[in-house]
This record gives sequence, structure tokens and C-alpha cells, in this order.
Amino acid sequence: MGVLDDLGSGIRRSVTGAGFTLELLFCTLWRLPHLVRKIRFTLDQMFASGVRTIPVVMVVAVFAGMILSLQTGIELKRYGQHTLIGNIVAISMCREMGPFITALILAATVGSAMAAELGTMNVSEEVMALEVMSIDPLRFLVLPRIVALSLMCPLLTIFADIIGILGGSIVASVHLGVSFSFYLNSARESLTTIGSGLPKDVYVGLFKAWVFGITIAAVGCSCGLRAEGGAMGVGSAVRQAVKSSFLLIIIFGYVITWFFYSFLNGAF
Amino acid sequence: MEPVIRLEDVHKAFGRRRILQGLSFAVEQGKTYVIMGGSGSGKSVTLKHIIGLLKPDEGRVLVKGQEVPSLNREGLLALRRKMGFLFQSGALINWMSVYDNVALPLRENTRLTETEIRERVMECIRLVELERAADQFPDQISGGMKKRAGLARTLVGEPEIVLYDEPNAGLDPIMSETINRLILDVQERFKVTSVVVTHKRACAYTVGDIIAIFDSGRIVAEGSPDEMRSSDHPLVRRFLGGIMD
Ligand SMILES: Nc1ncnc2c1ncn2[C@@H]1O[C@H](COP(=O)(O)OP(=O)(O)OP(=O)(O)O)[C@@H](O)[C@H]1O
Ligand SMILES: [Mg+2]
Repeated sequence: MGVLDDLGSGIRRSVTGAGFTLELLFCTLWRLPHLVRKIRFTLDQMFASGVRTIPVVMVVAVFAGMILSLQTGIELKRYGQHTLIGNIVAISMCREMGPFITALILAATVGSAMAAELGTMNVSEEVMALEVMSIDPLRFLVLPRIVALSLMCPLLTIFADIIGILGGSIVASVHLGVSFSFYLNSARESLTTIGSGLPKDVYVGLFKAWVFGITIAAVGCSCGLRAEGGAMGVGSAVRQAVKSSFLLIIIFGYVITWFFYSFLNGAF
Repeated sequence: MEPVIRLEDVHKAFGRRRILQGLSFAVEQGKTYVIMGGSGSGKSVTLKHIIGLLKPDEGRVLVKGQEVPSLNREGLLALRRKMGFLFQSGALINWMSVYDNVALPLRENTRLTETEIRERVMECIRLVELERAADQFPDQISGGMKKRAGLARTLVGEPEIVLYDEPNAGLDPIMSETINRLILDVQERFKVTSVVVTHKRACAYTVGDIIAIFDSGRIVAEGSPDEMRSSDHPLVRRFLGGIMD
């Protein structure tokens, strides 16, 4: 019985948690017009969330590109197709890997920090103090964070895409004998021939990154604002935030890919 | 005249723990109502009901004739603009300096210019004698200083109703007296209505128009300082008798 009870309350908790997060997101969007007075906070948040994560994103993206290039390159070389490596790295970086690794890094660093900050404020009565001063915590705390991350996540993704493709080029020239200019040319070609105007792989990837950014911030804030019971409560809020963001990133990533490449193409 | 704050038969439980059990009292316009009671008995919970942070399970909470628990968000915001609340912990925003904390309500809720704000904020900071700490952050100052900074932030919006949760806990006797005088001064100058939760007899006798003893979830005795001094109710003697501290 105990296990079933635990499971039951676990499910109930995550359902109310999801409801709270969605409500928080909608109420915050409703307050978007107030953003003009919160520009400074938003810029601060953008700096804290974006600029500070650039080094990590850079290292991870370089290696992701290199691994991608090496793994696929070895297989392709067996069939003598290794000249395609530029196309493959460019497409998978822009479509999947770039947004994905950026989002995971942001969830682990910035999302968890948001949960910790807001959680600490919540358990030390600071959020209550805001309410008492007639200051809306959603407008004051949540809005700048969501806007900041929804802008920074796509920006960092562009950065990760570029770095990842460059990382792939190192492996391509050292291990596969594909020259740098040839690699870059095929990368550019693969990204421009498919769509007209802005290449589809790029804009789908950026759309994904935008959704991920909003998700990470909303989940982080929501977990933080529900934290109760001192330092322990803040700890479990952070854990919950990272866990939920990871899950949602995977799920939303799949859904968006499916929508743009399968559903819209009439394949499903 | 209708009292400014009125609680009628309020009940509140957290899970199975019943904290308020039939709490009733009223505070008249311009008066200071002092609540004394044991630690963990529910005094802070009482104050949070008055400002709408908690809702009663049963009973009524009226402030300026309005039912606080049934106010909508706008109504509550409008009411809170006229109220000040000093948290027991000070509850300063930890990533803002003392100055910015005190300025926060003015920056968010008024259209005053930065120079006008500076004037008001510095005046309040001077009242609680924190000029030297204005640029410091909450984690760099002592508990008593946080309390005073919280007090400055509470008073900066010139509220009509002020709720003080232990305004002079953790302060040295001299600072404690300064704060008592400040509370008295604010009450006389702006005719504010206030509720003060305190453990200090000196504070109760200095600022109180009515002193009440809170026990097992309700007010068990109340009266003017003189009445309380001569009361022989055992709890009144326990809280207010003996040597003044
Ligand atoms: N949000 C809450 N959830 C659950 N229990 C709570 C909550 N707030 C207060 N309590 C409980 O209610 C009781 C009364 O708390 P309260 O803070 O009002 O005490 P107090 O009279 O102010 O004590 P002190 O003089 O030490 O400040 C405490 O036992 C506390 O554990
Ligand atoms: Mg208390």
C-alpha cells in the first residue's frame, strides 16, 4: 500500500506542479506590458544567465561537434562518403544538438539557480514581503527571468551551432582529410538549399531553443516559488527544477521535431 | 465609530495543529494595540491574517470595513498600499542594498522622481539610525540592523495602518528605546493605527493604548496599561508583572 500511496501522491504533486507552472507562465505573459519598467532587471538577468554561461557552452559545443564529426566520419569513411561530413554535422548541430546542449547547460546552471534564488526568497519570507508591499512577485521576479532566458537561449544556441560546426571541422581535416574550406562549403550548402530564405534547420532549432528557454525559466521559478521549509526545501526545489526541465526539454524537443519534419510534411 | 481592524471568532489550523481558536479583538482608529504571548503561540499568524497573507478557516477579518479574506487581487493590493508590515525577520530582499530595499516600495508603487525618493528614503534611514549601513547588503549587517532596515521600509510609504512583528527583538536596550519612541512618534505624527507584537514589557507600556495577552489561540485578557498593571490575572502577571526590562 505504501508504494501505491507514494506513487499516487507523487503523481498528484506533479500534476498540481504542472498546473502551477502553466498558470504562472500565463499570468506572467499577461504582465508582459510591464516589461518596459523592468528592462534593467531583464538585462541583468540576461547577463547573469547568458554571458556567464558562454564558456561552458563553448567547451561543450566544441566537443559535441568533434564527437559528432568523428563518430559519423569513421562510419562514412568505410563507405567512402566522408566528404558529406560537413553537411551532416551542420544539420544535426542546428536541428538538434545546438539547442539541446544549450538547454541542458542552461537548465543545470541557470534554471537551478533561479529555483534556488526564488526558493530562498520564499522560505525567508521575502516573497511575502513583496506581496505586503503591493509588489507583484510575478512581475518583479518571474517576468524578467522568463524574458531573459527566452532571448538568451536562442542566442546561445546560434553560438553553440557555430562553435560546434567549427569543432567538427577540426576533426574533419585532421582525421578524415576533408579540407576546411570544403567542409565549410558543404555545411553552408546543406543549410541553404533546403529552405528558402532562412534555412528551416536553423529556424526550427532556434524555435526549439526559444521554447526551451521559456520552459527552463518557468519551471525554475515555479519550483522556487513553491519551496517551503528552509534549506531542505530549497534543495528539493532545485532538484525538482532540474529534473523537470530535463524531462520537458527531451519531450518538447521530440514534439517540435515531429511537428516540423513529420507533421508539416504530411508524412504522418 | 467602526474600529479600523476587527477580528471576529477567527479559527486557523495548519494540518491538525490548531493555532487560532476563536480569536477576536478590535483596534480603534489611531490606537496602538499590543499583543503579548508565548513563543510559537500564533502571534505572527494573527498579523498575517490582518494583511491577507493567510486566510482564516472560520471567522471574519475586517480592515477599514472590508472583509480581507474575500477581497480580490486588486482590492487586496489597494488595501495593502495603505498598510505597513514589519516582518519578524526583517525580510529584506537579499540581493538589494539597504538603501534599495527601503526605496523599493516607492520605486514600484509611486511615480516619484529619484531625487524625491532619495529624500524620503534617507529620512527614514536616519530615523532608524542606519546612515552608515545604507550601501551595505542584508547579509553584511546584523540581525538588529536588518530589523531596523525593515522598519524603515515599512514606514517609507507612510502607511495608515502598521503591523509590527517584534520591532525590538534582538536590539540593545538603547536602540530598543529609540525604536519604541519611533513607534510612538509615528503614531502621534501620522495618527496611524497599529498592532504591535512584542515580548518586551517596556515596549508594551511605552507604545500601547491597549495591551492584550494572547494564549491558546485567543486573547485571554486586554486593557489599558494601567488596568493591566493592577490586574491579578495569572497570565497578565506572568507577562507584565515583575521588574521592567
Ligand atoms: N505557513 C505555516 N504552515 C504551517 N505551520 C505554520 C505556518 N505558519 C506558522 N505555523 C505554525 O504556527 C505556529 C505559530 O506560529 P507563529 O509564527 O505565529 O508564532 P509566534 O507566536 O509569532 O511565535 P514567536 O514569538 O516565536 O514569533 C508555529 O508553531 C508554527 O509552526
Ligand atoms: Mg512571531
